[in-house]
Amino acid sequence: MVGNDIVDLNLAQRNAWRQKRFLDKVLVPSEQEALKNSSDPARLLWVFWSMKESAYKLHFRKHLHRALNPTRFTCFLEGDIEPGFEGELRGRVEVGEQVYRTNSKIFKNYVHTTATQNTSRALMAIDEVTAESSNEIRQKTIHNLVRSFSYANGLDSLQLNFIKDKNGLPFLTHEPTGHSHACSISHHGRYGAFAIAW
Amino acid sequence: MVEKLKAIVKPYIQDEAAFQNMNESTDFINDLKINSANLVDVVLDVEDAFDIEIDNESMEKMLNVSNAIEIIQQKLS
Repeated sequence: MVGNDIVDLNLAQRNAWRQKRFLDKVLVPSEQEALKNSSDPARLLWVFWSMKESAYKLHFRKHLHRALNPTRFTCFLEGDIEPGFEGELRGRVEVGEQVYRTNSKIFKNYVHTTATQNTSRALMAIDEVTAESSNEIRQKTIHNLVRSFSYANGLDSLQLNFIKDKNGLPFLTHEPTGHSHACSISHHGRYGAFAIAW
Repeated sequence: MVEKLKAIVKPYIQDEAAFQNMNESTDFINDLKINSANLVDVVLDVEDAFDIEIDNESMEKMLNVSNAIEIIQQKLS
């Protein structure tokens, strides 16, 4: 199973006067401490956020409990980021007894995290789309998910359907066999991304 | 109360039609398509507008208009 989340860093900035109150609502003390000690706290916040959000999506898939509860998800990041750092950082997110593995791709303009559990193979991709509506970015992300998954598995993309079940959970279904694969899509600002595991 | 909330969520909504029809059963994420980081902003704006403090436990339920109204009324009383 997999969950993902992308943050367009150009859209994510908040007023300084508001920042402290925002942090108290989304980060636990250990994460706030990490921000204080970081040389790039502005991006580290959104790395933590995308870790929490991707883990939430995975957690929701298992427990079907909706809540706006970022402080119940605690992030542990293997390494720190500095201004100018671009690359991947692994980590984990703990919620109650559950532990989810995360992988964050961190760039100047966006952060994308995937959270996984018991996954053998996973595919993910990020797209940058300029000057289009949020719905267009979503459609393009779904199109790329279908195309990439069909290519990786030697399937006809016309036989793959993107659906959401009654709980709003996204799946990719293969018409001839009826197989369905849990997937996750995320879009924010100019960026869209998907993740699928099987 | 719905009208006051409507003014608060307006900057964050991504579904104009659902926003026009906003009522007690409207869901902030599923209907108005507010992203979850912005939903935290809505909570902060609600705190400012009503001069209340919404603790993280109450915030967990701030997913739709009816819950938001219930929490605001609870904190005001």
